[in-house]
Parts: sequence; structure tokens; C-alpha cells
Amino acid sequence: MGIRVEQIRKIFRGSGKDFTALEGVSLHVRTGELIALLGPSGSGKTTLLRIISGLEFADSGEIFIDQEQTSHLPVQNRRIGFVFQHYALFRHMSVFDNIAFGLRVKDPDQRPDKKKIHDKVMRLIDLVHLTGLHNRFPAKLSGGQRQRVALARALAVDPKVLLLDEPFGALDAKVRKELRRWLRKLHDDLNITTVFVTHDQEEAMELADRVVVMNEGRIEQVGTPEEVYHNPANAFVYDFLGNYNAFDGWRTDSGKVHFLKGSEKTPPGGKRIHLFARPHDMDVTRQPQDEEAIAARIIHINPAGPLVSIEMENDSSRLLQAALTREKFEELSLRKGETVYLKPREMKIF
Amino acid sequence: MSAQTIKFRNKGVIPGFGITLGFTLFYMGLIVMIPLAGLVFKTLEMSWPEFVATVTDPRVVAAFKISFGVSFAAGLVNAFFGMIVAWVLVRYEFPGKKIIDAMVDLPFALPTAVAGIALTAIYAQNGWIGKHFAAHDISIAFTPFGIGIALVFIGLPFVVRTVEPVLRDFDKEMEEASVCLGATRRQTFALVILPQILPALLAGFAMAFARALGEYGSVIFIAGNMPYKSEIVPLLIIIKLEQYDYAGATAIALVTLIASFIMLFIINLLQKWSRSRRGMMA
Amino acid sequence: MEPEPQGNDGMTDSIALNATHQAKPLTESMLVRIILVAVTLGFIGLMIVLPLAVVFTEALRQGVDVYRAAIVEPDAMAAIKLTLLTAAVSVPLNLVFGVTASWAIAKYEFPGKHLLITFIDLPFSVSPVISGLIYVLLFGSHSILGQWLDSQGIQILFAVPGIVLATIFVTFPFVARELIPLMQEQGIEEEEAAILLGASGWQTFRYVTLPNIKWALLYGVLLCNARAMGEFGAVSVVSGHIRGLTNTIPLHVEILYNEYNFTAAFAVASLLTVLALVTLLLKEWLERRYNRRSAAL
Repeated sequence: MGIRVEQIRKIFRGSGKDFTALEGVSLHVRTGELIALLGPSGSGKTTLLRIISGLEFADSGEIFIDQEQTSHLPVQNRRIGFVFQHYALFRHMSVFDNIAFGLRVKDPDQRPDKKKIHDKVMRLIDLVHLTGLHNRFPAKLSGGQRQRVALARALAVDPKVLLLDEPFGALDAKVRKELRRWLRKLHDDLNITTVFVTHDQEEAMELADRVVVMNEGRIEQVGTPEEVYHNPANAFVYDFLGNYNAFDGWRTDSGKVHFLKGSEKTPPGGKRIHLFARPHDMDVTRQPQDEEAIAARIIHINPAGPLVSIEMENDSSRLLQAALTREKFEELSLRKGETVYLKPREMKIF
Repeated sequence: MSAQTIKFRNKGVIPGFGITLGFTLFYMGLIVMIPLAGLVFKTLEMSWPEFVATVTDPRVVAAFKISFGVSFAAGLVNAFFGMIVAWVLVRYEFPGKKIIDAMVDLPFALPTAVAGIALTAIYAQNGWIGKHFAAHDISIAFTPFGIGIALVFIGLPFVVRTVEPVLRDFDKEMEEASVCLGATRRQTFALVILPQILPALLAGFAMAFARALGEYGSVIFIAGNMPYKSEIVPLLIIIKLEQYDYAGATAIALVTLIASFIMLFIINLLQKWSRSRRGMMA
Repeated sequence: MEPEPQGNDGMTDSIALNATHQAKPLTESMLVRIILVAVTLGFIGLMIVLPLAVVFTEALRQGVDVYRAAIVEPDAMAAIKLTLLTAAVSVPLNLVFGVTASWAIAKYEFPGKHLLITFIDLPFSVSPVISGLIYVLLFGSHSILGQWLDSQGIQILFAVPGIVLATIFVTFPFVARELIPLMQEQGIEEEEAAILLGASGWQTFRYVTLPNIKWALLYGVLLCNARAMGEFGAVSVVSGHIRGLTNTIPLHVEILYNEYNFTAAFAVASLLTVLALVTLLLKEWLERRYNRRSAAL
């Protein structure tokens, strides 16, 4: 039940100006995969998801679900499970009736009998850990519970593909983490091809088999979380997937790289470049390791979290960040206002 | 600060409580309470047997039947068409939409007497539309049917304006979810949309019905006002007044008032139900 | 959720849709839509637009001169004057009441608040005839109060004061009903802030509350006025129908009509019809200004 997206284009025509949501996007999702569409607002990720589902229509291009072309199929016949950010539960129906809905609206010749529906719904309620709540109404459920009902409801009709639109966006942090873990487990058990949309890179990295990084209607990179994090295809992907420090520098023909400090200019024969390093890849010392080390003054220390985060300013007033382990931090016993020296262990050049 | 838990008088920081509440109660007392009390006292002057006799007099009963019956029918017509109008106004765009939207409120702004004579001019035997029906020997004006038309007119805005906000706030994603789960458009409407607007629809119906019960100005011109045939209760009250039968008029008025209060109560309940149906009450 | 422009959101669909080769699952078929719009146009056209057309057509049936004559005729002028007087008294009084009551309800907590709101809604559920009846019972010559008034030579019923009173009763909810939900929604925080900054109650009202409610207020006044000028049933009961003295415009229309003087009746009626149309226009304009469907009705 793989999904193949071929050259999908979508333009929203507004009064006066048009907005290109998707510019010829292509993608292949393998059967049973759990992939994330990750990107900022306006990147086109939700539009793409909705086009796959059939809730929106592309201007050109094709979608294939399980080898079958879907553009002529109305939404009802695509066997898609869709979970909305704000649940979209039927407020006037109980949990049971919500989940049973998809089964009850089937054509008479395809509809299971009452007992079968009852058993299936109750099984699903157990699956999503809402046993005993089948008679409750959505208004009396917590956000996390509602989302689980929404999921059970989508699963009730045995969809070929499961699509989730920022499913945890409306929940608070702790519930979000729990549901993430739970969705991963559910996917491992059921093995349904799943696509979910998020703007939270941590969520994408934690959940997905592969991540599709999108920006302004284009796919910037597709890869496993390790791939997109450690081998970002371009500056956008790098930037989007975590904090970073940016440096100006130049390289010689032989490939040797130097930093530009203060108001230095690129010497003749050298090529101007930008260098990027992650905060946790920065070495911090009290004395300069060598002439490439950069001096910076500590302006803020944030001790909360697994690593100690240090904000600094270099002599051109540029903000730099370093993340140190607790031990390292205590070893250096750094304080606000002190000057230290930075050198990245690992860098990327774009 | 949870205002709901404060049951006792809470003046808080804002001044003027005494004077505003005082004036409000004074005004209402003067304009509403005292006259209403007069009504109650007058009724009490009557003995119970007298009261029953007045209210069960055949002519009176006939008038009640007509008033209730036609108001109910008019309410149903308004419920059906009002639902369509509300749907069309909320969900579609078409030329002339703004005008239609404004026109819906006309029955509310137009004096009832003007509506009365205009409707009569249309549906009388020689009227714009009436004359076509007269050719086939069908009368509209001066029959309960004519009354019905007038009551549909004055009740029209109630259903439309009560259903509109509920439709407007309707969560489109519920419709999308329904469709993803395999429902046809018709199933989506019947199983998802309609149940949630039903309470509002009923409330609008009840309001139109309550309004129609007491309507006078737009009806008396088109009604014909023949006792037992096309006489409505408000007219009967006036006739009794003109005959100085104050007791009789009061008795009938009281029954009508009680009916109105019951309607008010039901409307209130329906509105509560509407809000709970849509998940707005925790 | 991304704030992407939902160009084709299925909520408001153009009838003249550019048809794509794909089925639209989220709206009704084109045929159904056309039928529904046609039904709407037909229903509204028949029930509302037609009567409007009739008023003006009949009024001008015998030409502009007859139209004008009907209006400047002494009894008609007297009716117009009385209507204006009634409105001029009831509307400001009900305005003050409306603002005061809404303030009391929205800014304070007290027991019986819900009951108060219900009573304010009362005239809406009471037949206009009954509204007039209660004043007849109160001031009629058979009642205690009536007899006392007679002895003092004060006439309320079948005279202007009675008409004004009945009109006040029937129209007093309008301003309050517009303001109460709005002011409750707006809460008390801004007023509290003003008081804490040292403003007096009156200053708070004038500079903080009033600007927030001015459009709803205006709208309430409009409706109150339209109803005050157009009230028929209640006024009919208390008026005595004395030509030239105790007839408002609606009552005058009735008299003309019952005398088979149709053209004149419609001519006079057209005045109030124009007022109704102006009220509706102003209402549309106001709604666009304060951008909210009022609780109206």
C-alpha cells in the first residue's frame, strides 16, 4: 500500500495574487513506512497531505495509492484514514458512535452486521486505551483522549493509508510526548503506511522512518532522521533541523578553511564561504587552542536541560551558542561576563 | 476569578450598582410589573366557574384552535424554508445575495399594519395573486390560508436568524472527517450536520410559533375575522374589550399568556440543548 | 495548522464554479445548489419583495399628486405628528433604560439576574393586544387607579399618554437586548482598570464603556424606533381611534383602509415602509462597521 506522488502542482488563486502551494512535488512512500512531512508554515506540507487524501485537488500531477491512480476517485472511495489537528469528532455522538460511524455509513451490501460492528468498535476502543469510555461524549474527554478516539475512528474502516495533520499540535507538551510514543508503537503493531504533517522537527525526528523536509512548495530533502540531520542537503534543512552557529570564513584553493574575524576581509585568491556548526559540536576553552579559535563573551547561561546552554557574543556582536555537558561546564566553572574561546569540532559548509 | 461561584451580592470595584439596578427595577416595576399585576388581579376578580365558562365558550375555543393551528402550520413552513434560506445564505455566493440577506429582516422592521394591507392587496379576490386563484374559485384572503400567509411573513426571520449562526460556526472538518470515513454527501448532511442544527431549528420554530400566536396587525386585514371560521384570539380579546367584557378579555389573555410563557420556557430549554449538542457545555 | 490560504474551501461556493473533472465531495451537486438558490429566491421574492412592491405601486397608483395629498391631509399630518411624538418620548427613555439595565447586568453579580433578563424579554413573547390590554385594565375607568385619575381630570387611556405608555412597554427591550450580550461578552476588566486608575463611574462609562458599545447602541435605537413608530396592536387597544387626535400612522392607515380609501392608505403606509427600508440599510451598514451579527430579534 505504498503512495506515489508524481509532479503535484497546486496554486491557490486569490483576489489579485496567486499563491503557489506546491511546485511539482514528487515522492514515494513505501508500504508500511511512517514518514513525516516537515516544514514551516506555508511550506505546502498540509496541502500535499490533503491532496493525497482527496480533500483538495491538484492542478496537475498524479497520486497513486497501492499502484492505483486516485484522481478520479472521490474521497469516500479512497480508503484513507484522516486524523485532524483539532480532532473533528462528531460532537453529538458518543465515543462508540463516532468510531462506528465509518462502518455504519457503508453501502448495505458492504456493511457488517450490528454485532460485528459492536465487537470491532470495542476492540478499537481497547486498542487506543479508552476502555470503559465508550458512552462518553467528546466534550467530556481530554485532548489526548479525543485524539485517540479520532485515531480509532479512522482505523475502524481499515484504511490503506493513514494520514495525520499535525495530530498533536493542539495538545500540551507532556501529552504530546506520550502520544508520540504511543503512535510509534501503534504503527509498529499495525504496520499501516502512515504520513503525518508536523512543523516540530523533534517530533519528526523521533517518530518517522523517513523525513521529508519541505519549504515553499518544494521538497528540500528526503531521508532518514540521521541523514537529514547529519547530511543536510542545504542550508535550509540544516537551519530547520536544529540550532546552529554561523561563521564567515574563506577557503584556499587547497581546501584549507579559515575564519574571518572582526572586520577582516577575504584575502585575494581565497573564496568566501559560510560555515555552520551545532552548539553541541563547539569546543569551549579558557585559552585559545590556536589562532583559529574565536573569542566570545558569555552573556547568558541556561542550566536547565540535559546540556548546559551558553549564549555568547563575539567581537562583531554576533550571537553564538554552545551546549556543554554538565561535567564539562563544571570543569570550566564558567560565569556570565567571562570571555572564552570557541572552536567547532565539526562544521558544515554551504 | 470565577464569577459563577459568587452567589451573594458583589459590588466589586465598579461604582453605580445601586443607582443602575435601582433605576432598572423602578422602570421595570412601573412599566411592566404593575400593569401585569393589574392583569392578575383582574383575573382573580373572576370566579373559577366564570373563568372556565369564558374560556371554554365555543367561539373562544374555535379562535384558539385557529390561532394555534395556523401558527403551528406557519411555523412549520418557516422551519422548512427558513432552513433552506439559512443554508443558502451561509454557504453559497450568488448575485443578489446581499439584498436577500437584508430582506430577511424586513418583517421585523415593517409595521404589522403595513404588512397586513400589503398582503391583503396581493391575495384578495382582485389582488395581484389572488385574482389568478379566484378564476379557479379558490380564495386565499379571508380564509385561514390567508392568515397562514401573514403568519409565515412575520415569522420568517426567526428560523433563518437562529439557524444561521450555528451553520456559520459549523466545523467544516467534521464534514471532511465524515467524507473520509466513506459517507455520501446526503449521509453527511443527515447524520452529522442536521443533528447539530436541529435544536437551533426547533428553537427558531418555537420563536416563530410564539410570535404568530399573538400577532394582530398583519392578520386582521387578511383574516376575514368571521367567528368560528377565521377569527384569531387577539381579535377576540379586542372584541370583548369593545363590549366592555373586561373579565372575558382578561381570561382569554391569561390563557394566551400562559401559553406564551410555556413557549418561552421551551425555547430556553431548546437553546440549552443546542449548546450542549454542539459540545459547548463541559 | 498552517495559515495557508484555503482557496477552495467548500464553505462558500460560487454557483458559477469552474468545473473540474473531479468530484467535489464536500458540497452538494451543482443541480442541488441551483435548486436551493432558486427556492430561496422564490420564497423571499414572494413573501417579502412582493409585498414591498405592492405598497409602493398601490400608493402611486393614482399618481404623485394624489400621493402627496394623502400625506399632507390634516388627519394624516396629525397622525404623523403623534407618531413622531410617541417615538421621541419612548425611544430616549428606553435608551436610558437599556443602557442602565445592561450596565447593571453586565458589570455586577447579583441574585435574580437571570430572572431579570427573562422579564426584560417579556414584551417579545406577549401579544401586542395583551400589552395594550394590561394598560386598559390598569387605567380603565372601572379600576381604582382609573377612577382616581378621572377625579383628577387626568386622562391616560384613549389619549396620548396611554399611547406613549403602551409604546414604551412594547419597545423597551430593544436596546437592552442588543447591549446585554455584548456587554457581558466584553466583561468588566476595562472598567476595573479605569476605576483603578482613578476614573469616576461616569467617566468610566463615558470614555471606556460607551465607545465599545456605540454601534450596538445605535442599532438598538434604530430597531426601537422602527417598532415605536410602527406599533399597531397595543396602540390600537389603548387609543380610542379618535381621528386627528389619538391616531398614530398605523392606526390612520387602518382607518383609511377600512374606508376603502386604498390609495391613501398605501400612501401613508409607504412612509413607514421607507422608514423600514432605511432601518434595514443602516443595519447592514452598522453590521459591517461593528462586524458582528447581532442577537437581534
